[in-house]
Amino acid sequence: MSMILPNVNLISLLPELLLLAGATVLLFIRGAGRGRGIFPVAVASVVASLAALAFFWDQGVRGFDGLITRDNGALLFQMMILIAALISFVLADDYLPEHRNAGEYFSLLLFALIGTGIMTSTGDLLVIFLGIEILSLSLYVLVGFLKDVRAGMEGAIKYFLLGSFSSALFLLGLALWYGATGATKLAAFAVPAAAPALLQAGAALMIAGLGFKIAAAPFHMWAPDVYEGAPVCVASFISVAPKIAAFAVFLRFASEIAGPGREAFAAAVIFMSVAGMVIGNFTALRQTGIVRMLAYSGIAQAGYILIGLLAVPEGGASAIAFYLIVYIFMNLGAFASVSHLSRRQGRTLQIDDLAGLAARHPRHAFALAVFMVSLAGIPPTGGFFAKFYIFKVGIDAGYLSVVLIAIITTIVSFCYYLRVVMVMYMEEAGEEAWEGTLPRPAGATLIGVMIAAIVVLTFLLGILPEEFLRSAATALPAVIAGI
Amino acid sequence: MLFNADIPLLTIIVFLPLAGAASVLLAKGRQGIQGVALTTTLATFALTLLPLWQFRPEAAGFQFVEQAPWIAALGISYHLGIDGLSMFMLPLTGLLSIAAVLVSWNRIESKEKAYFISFLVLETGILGVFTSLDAVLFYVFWEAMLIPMFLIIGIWGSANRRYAALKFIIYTMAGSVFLLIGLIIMAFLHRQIGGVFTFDMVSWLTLNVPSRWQYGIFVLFFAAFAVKVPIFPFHTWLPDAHVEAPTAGSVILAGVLLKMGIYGLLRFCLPLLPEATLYFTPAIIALGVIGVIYGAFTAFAQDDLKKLVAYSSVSHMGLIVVGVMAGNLAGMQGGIIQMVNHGLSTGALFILVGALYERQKTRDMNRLGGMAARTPVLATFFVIMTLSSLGLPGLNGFVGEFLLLLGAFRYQWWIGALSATTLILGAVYMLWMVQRVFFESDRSGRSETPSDLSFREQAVMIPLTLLVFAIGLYPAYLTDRIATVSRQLISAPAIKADSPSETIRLAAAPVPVPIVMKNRGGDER
Repeated sequence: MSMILPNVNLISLLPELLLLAGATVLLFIRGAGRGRGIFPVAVASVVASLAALAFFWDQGVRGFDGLITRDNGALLFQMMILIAALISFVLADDYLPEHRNAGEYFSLLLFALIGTGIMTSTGDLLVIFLGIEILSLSLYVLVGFLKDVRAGMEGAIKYFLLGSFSSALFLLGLALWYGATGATKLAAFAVPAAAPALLQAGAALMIAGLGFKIAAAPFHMWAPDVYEGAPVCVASFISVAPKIAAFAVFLRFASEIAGPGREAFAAAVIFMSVAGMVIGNFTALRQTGIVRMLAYSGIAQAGYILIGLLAVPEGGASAIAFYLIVYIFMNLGAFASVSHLSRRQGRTLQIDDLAGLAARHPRHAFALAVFMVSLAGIPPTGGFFAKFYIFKVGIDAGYLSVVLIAIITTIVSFCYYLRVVMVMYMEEAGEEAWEGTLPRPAGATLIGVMIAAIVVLTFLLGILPEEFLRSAATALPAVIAGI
Repeated sequence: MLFNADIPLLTIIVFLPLAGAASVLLAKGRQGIQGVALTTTLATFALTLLPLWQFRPEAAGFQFVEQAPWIAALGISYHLGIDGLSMFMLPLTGLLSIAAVLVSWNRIESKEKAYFISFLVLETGILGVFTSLDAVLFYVFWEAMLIPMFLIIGIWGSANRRYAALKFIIYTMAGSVFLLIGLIIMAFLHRQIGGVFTFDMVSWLTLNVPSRWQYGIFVLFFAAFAVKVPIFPFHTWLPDAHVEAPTAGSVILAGVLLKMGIYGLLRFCLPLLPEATLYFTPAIIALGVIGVIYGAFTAFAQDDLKKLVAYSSVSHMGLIVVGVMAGNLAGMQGGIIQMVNHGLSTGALFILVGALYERQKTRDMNRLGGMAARTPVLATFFVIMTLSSLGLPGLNGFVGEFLLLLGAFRYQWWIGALSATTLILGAVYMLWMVQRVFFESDRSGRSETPSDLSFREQAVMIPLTLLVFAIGLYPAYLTDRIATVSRQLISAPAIKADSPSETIRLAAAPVPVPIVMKNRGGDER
């Protein structure tokens, strides 16, 4: 790189700059001592960032001499992440009201969003790494946000150690890559390298580093402990946002890779996918804590989504985007319900604690049941069409056997998803478990309205998915073209 | 269409119960909820009768067709229509849903609202399955219907309900997901051969599926339908589900849900995969015959009334499988008619068993007895339904069983002979049940006299009984209307498949073998 930066075009980073402004202001509000406007400022900066992204829609923008390239695909993924962030803000507002460090909390979340924004909108490996680090450093702190919770600290340390390790792997891969191709561009995948072995080793290390971020097996070990230890609102964010960003990067990998690397990439993806589906689903069966169960379910879901990568460029990208859209809603919906239920609990919420929920809080139980049914992929919810689309592109790409494994593990997943429904609807509550843990429903709360909206969306995605599918399908070819 | 084409009749039929479910949500009080549910089911039933007299029996293909784009990006459309195979299933569903609401009247102690909503959603799902002509639409209804049934068994069932509910849903869902894969592969084949990626079942009918794909797809389809029928050895969920389900749940389960398995076989496997159908026919018929005999003997060994009726269902459904797979007109017509008959008589038997249970608080036959003297009306209905179930001439069961056995004999005399044991064994366990429950001496140890059937219960039973006689005495009404579709179904394998060993078998069928078509068989280019 030359010392004179040509064609910077800061506008291309406008969404991130808005987030940065919000994050900075939040720190000052905290400094002023009151903590009044924290939530509105955080929401406002995310909404402004969303608006900026929407402004770029269909016209695209480039900056930093092409290092930042925002096409519709990149915009779609970052928009999805911001929507997920908004949902998790509402959760945090419900879970940590009047926490004295709330300013830092939202500020860190905004920094994490800057990281995802950079990850999604570049085709340069070094810049991707930059994004990953911005995202990860914020998340390490957030996991340990509740300093007085032992499990939280344990989770934070674990996440930090394993996360740094995976970042190091990515960086090593990047170095090898640079050695083999002399460039940090992903597009170098396409050209025949002087040292294919070096290139493949580099790619493998980077895939492992990214696999960690989406909690794909066998890089999933951190997920259950971190999800359980972290505040539920943080866990919900970690379960969605880094996944979406990492899948955006994966999609760029998948669409660029060619030659002998292609088979190696496909083999790695198949391995991670099958391992994730098998390990995730079978281990989820044995969980008693609901957050741990959701963690393993997330590992399994990552396995399903990975199937879509095999079908790039024949529609796999839009299948992944559609799955992720549905996944945001059903997974965050489930986390929102759990977070709302567990906020007054001194301990982690067990599945058996939900017994009799249907009798006490019928609406709440219904919402959680809908999310479980959707995660299981049963129509008429969005989860069904998400799986359907993934399976379709998987078969189309010729990976029938992988899809059959997915089908069999889906059957296994019915057991643990439906078990939650059974416990809520078909078992009587132990009296003492519920004393005072949940306030009587008192009118419309923000989180209640949000959960209701997510339920509606989950059904809408299952009954009228056409619109969402079309937007995913039209946006995504651009990911391939725009690097 | 004969019916005013501007009115989407089938859509109204399918979604009326769902609208009713929404109204139940708003209804206040127990009477209000029940009133809304009853009104909805009555109105739905009335609407399901409309197609009956506007249906043109001689016309091939589907009638009352509605089609609109749904998810064009994936080749999925909203496509409804009925033919002779599905047309009688709609009123049957409508009628049994009314019965389900009436037998639950004032009987549900907790969560009535959720209960009736579940039933109405279930009804929409079932009607949707029988009218869908798009494979994905079919699948959506097929699976969506399982959740309310799961809740009905699991929430309002008896002691061991959770186990039964989970077993029911895991078994049926496990089968269904294989169906989904089969459907997706079919759509790809259609793209490969027909040029369009579509899930439209009517387009699929014109497709000659390459033989190397037929067997795999058949196995995927069969997994779903065999569990639902249930064909031995996939039946083990059925007795559990029946015993634990509330009465109304058993009525719908036995009356309609089991028919969906046969319906699926006839709608998907036979017309779409003729070659594989011919290949697997002997194995399926063998399983059917095993089901007939095994079900009967197991029923014989039961003390629990509900279990007995459940195993008798396994036996009867086995016979239907034998008949429809036999590949001749008699068996096919008998199978379709028996789907209706079995729904009526077994549904009615479950209602009566439920009524008995309410009065005596037991279903154990060793603790019943002598009921005929004390509840003569109940006993009369029970005996009629028993006789219908075991195939007494003049009642509906006879028509179906006679045709089914005729079909089985035409297939292979010894298959027919083995299947015919259902008549003897059925008579044995059914009549022994009647003897133990209604005659002999009272073993209940209860002093008070149980009340006879109430007006409400009689209102349920009388129409069912009338239908039992009507079909028994004038079966031509049914056979005329299903003749066309039956011919299509048995000729599908003959036209499309290219299997010389089958010519002999088909020669026995009343349809001429279309030898001219032989050269069309074989692999695709």
